[in-house]
Amino acid sequence: MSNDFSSLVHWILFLPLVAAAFSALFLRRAGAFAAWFSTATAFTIAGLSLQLLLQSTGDVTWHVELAKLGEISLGFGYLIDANARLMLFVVSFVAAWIHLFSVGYMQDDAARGRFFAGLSIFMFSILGIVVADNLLMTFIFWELVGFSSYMLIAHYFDKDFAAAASKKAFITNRIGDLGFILGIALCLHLYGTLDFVALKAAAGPAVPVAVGALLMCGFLGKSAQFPLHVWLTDAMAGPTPVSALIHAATMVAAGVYFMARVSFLLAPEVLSWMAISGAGMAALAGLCALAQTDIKKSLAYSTLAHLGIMGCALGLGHPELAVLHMAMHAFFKATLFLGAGSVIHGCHHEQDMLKMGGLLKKMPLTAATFIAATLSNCAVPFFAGWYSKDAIIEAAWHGHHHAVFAFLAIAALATCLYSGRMIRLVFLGEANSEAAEHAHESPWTMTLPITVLGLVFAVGAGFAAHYLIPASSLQVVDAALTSLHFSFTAPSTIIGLLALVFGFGGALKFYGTTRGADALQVVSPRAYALLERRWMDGLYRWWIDGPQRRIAEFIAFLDLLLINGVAVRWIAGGATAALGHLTGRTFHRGQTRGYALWIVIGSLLLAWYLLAR
Amino acid sequence: MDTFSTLNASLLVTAIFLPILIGLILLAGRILPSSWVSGLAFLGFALPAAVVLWFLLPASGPLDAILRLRVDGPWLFKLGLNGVSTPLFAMTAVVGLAAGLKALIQEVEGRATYLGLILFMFGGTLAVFATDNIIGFYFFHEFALIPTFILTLFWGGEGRRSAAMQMAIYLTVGAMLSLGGILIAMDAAALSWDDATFGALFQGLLAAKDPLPAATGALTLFGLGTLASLFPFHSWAAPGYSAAPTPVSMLHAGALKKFGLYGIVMVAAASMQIGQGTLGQWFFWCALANLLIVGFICIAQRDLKQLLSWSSVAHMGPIFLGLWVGTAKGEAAGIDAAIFLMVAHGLSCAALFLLANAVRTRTGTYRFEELGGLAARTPVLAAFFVAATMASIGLPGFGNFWGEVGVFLSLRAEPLWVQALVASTIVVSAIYALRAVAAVFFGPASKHIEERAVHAPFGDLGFTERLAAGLLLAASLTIGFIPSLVTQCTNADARGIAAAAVRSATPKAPAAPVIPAATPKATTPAPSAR
Amino acid sequence: MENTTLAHHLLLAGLLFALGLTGVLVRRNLLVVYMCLELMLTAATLALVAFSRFNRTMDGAIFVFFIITVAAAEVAVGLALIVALYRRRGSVKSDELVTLRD
Repeated sequence: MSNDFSSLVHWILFLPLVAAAFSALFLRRAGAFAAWFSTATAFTIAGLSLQLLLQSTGDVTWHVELAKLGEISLGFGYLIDANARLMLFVVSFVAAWIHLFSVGYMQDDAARGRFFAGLSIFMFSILGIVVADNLLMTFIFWELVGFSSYMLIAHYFDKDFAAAASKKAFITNRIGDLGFILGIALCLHLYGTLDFVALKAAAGPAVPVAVGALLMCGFLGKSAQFPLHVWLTDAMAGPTPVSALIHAATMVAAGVYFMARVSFLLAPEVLSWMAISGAGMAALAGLCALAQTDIKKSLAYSTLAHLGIMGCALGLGHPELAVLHMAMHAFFKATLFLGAGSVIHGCHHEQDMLKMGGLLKKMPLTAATFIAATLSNCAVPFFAGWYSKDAIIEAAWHGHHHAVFAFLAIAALATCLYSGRMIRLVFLGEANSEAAEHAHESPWTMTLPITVLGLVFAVGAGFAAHYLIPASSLQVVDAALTSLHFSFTAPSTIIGLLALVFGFGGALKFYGTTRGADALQVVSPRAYALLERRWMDGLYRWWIDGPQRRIAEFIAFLDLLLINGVAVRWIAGGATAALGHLTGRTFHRGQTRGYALWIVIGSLLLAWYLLAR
Repeated sequence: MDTFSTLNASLLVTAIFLPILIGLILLAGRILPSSWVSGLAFLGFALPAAVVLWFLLPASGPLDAILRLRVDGPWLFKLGLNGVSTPLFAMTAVVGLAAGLKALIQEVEGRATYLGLILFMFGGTLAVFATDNIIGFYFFHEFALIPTFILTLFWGGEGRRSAAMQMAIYLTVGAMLSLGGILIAMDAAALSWDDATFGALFQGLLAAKDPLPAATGALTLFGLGTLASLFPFHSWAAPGYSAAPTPVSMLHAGALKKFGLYGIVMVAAASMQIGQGTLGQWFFWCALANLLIVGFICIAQRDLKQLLSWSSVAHMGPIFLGLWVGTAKGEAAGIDAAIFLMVAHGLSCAALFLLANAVRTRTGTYRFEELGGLAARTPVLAAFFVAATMASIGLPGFGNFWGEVGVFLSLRAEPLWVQALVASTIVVSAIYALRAVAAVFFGPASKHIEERAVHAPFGDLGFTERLAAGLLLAASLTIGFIPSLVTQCTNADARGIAAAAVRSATPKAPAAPVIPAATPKATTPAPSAR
Repeated sequence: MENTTLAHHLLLAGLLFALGLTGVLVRRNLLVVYMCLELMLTAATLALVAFSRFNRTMDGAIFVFFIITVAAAEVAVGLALIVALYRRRGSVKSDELVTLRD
């Protein structure tokens, strides 16, 4: 049986690569054909993944050694366990519908061919992370996902901010990857293997903190956790389907998936950091979402918050809950982003929420799916999001992690607040601009995906998971699903209902009070400014423009001066030439800094001489 | 199989000497009509690549047979490939073809002489990788190097006089140092010119008295290291590559630099204890400086060709560190990864120089502040350039990834701060490389480019340029997807060299000398480990 | 904090001095260079005070007053010079004040 399914996995993994190569080489001009070709490929992969999910039992494995460097074996293989099956299906299913959406959304774009080739490469990369059976292979596809993200964010490359955003995303991810590769080297050093199954066997109960901490760096970069979260909001510069697919549903969740896979390598200190940092991020990002007027940026902060919740679940020691939330989140967040895309498309590329309004009547289908997904976001009982989010809050309460529980409660409230705000500003009330006045519903290629994802999955995925999928395929989440039941006295339910009533309802009312301007900004501009300011970004900016640039220029200056200038002249013309150059050209360049440098060097030499005597 | 060996051997000899012969013809025959010149030059550039392609096919015989090809003769003509040199030979053939294609479409004065000199460079480099004799190695290395000075001086760009002068002096002094080391070592091993193979040198030095191997090691390491732009002898590289004509930069940074490293691997690594003791310490810190200090210098660059020149110096850092850990700690993966990175870097570096020159011929400048938004006008160039950039910063899928990651993994037993500093190259190289891409290709079109588009309109990459760049990138992708193509050649030799390096450092044991699996002797077949 | 030794104080002074020195060498704005010079001066002062305390004499502490006075005077003169320079040249960036070459 294992063999049959491994060939299925070959198809799933390599079909998008072939599609990407074909698109890149031959279809760059034939935009429409490339679009439908890519979409067909994506649906095929989704079908194959569904087949894998429903039919395979037990783990599917396959392995081949690519090469040997010295004594190190570089392997390529698959390990399809319960987590992987679920993730494969979620990723490919959501991606397929997003491909369909892009057909409509990118209709007027001249570079469609490049876009769909990029989506195919991304599919290849993310599926690679899901199926990988060893750390190095995961790292390979990790980097490839980073590259796909770079390429797709820079789709509108003639805009400066898109180019800058893509660069930022790639470099921030690479900083995470730095920690990741160090963790891989450490694993190889301590355990002599990089294979997940072998590592699990070799790693005892006491894994050094460094292993988990370093591997976590990759997670911090990819899933935009503190302190590497700064790239996600800028990544909204890419086309909306890219934001939906990559920066909401799949790539950012890859980090969570990986951490769940290597959860046996995470020491308790690492887990507590993840729990607190995740919960804190969830609360903070949720609040910051209130200060964004761009609909995509607001959703980006919402994604940051949910990633924080996933990180928190991992940190609480429940990787299965994190994986479950990742799956549910993929459905409703993709719907939200696609709905936002539909709204943006309908309002002729207007992204400012303050200029929207009254779209409930103009775009009823979009509005219905958006609201359904929002309710799932807010964890309304029995919607998809409720299953996972409430389970996590329950886990925090039962584990007596009080700080984490408090942060999660704030996060729940914030979620309802910004969701209510979004619904109020975009769909209810009166149109606030010409564009909103003349909004119209989007074509079927765009509304069908959001209907499927939104009304069907964002609402019913929890049900489906519980009742329709065979337990053995989903054993990872089965425990969570069977134990969760609706009870009025459970703390999570109390928090949830309070948040819904006061948060959601309150926001609906509050944000209707001002037209064309943000109510919070009107009432308390200082609070608004505080939430809007991007602290970490400022810090990174300062470092790059200040010390890093100065140090680089200083080192270049030193190299040129000392090694090139003095040393070479010495060799070329002997001591006299060197001295002549020194006194003539090097010393007297008229720059005070140079003089200061020579004073310092001279005094250091003098001090050394005096002290060494 | 015998017919095959003869066939393969003669193909090898032809591949090496035909470019040199055609170079001679072109130098001498200035009366040849221009189409003959182009045709002959193309033949000279393309034949080695065709021979390499033939060697790759299973029809040419098993890999072992190719690695054991030997051509006997006086010292100069003792030819043969080995595990380490075969991938480098193949890389040189590809880079040379790409450089040749570029040279053929350039409009220069004295074209025949220009092409002839480049063919000398090319043939000489191929010979360096295909020689089995140490003096032959030195001879061909100088043979390949001297044309570069002439080419840079007469056909170079801005600042060519001082750059050529600097290159000439630095590289000649380096070559003198390494010659000194080699001759002393040969004397200590009591070898004559004719039987001075790499293996014989190792045997001879095993019995030598103690400070001698380290002394010759220092001379050879720093002598050949100058050619490989080891810090602090790297200052010639950036001005040199910037001023040299593009095909020369491509061959120089891509292939010639690697034969300096090849020399270190074959001559110094196993026998001269370059990883041990004080010399080992110096080696380590210089290698680290290449990575860190030159990395920072790259961040400060504002000119595309300067950036590429400095970054090719910076990328030598991981290679040196891989060699260091292999010879100091016996970690064979370090040497394997270093060789892999040599091959991959040659390909990506050549591609980047080629494409950067494509930018220059179209826009007239290399400076970032004058460029911008080029991707809208030349999308194919932009695509190739992004691909080459991704290759050079070690994106998986391209060969550089395996080399870099291999070096990181080979350092796993070192303290964490060393590993962190070395691995930081992935962030630093991404910073300056992506900044270059964004500055040149992305964003709105700069004023300079808009003016240029009006007065001197330019088009996208032409067929030849696409072919050349495509060849290089395809080769990089091939070894990126199928790393065993390289490692099946290098693995056994790398392990042998690492083991030999560690053994040669231990106190002289009176045991019978064991031929290292690394370097097969001239007539006997290589033992074990295949 | 009964366990701070002389070494701690000297280390702090050394660090401050190094910071100041780095600033003098790296920064381009003359006023910032000036402030870093003052920082170096402060570091020396701190060292003096530390020595004074740990050797239980008053010499170091008295010297501090001298240093403060001299520093004040120097700052007055220096700032006046900088202002005059700015009035003449319109800039206080050392990059732009390069007429001292031959």
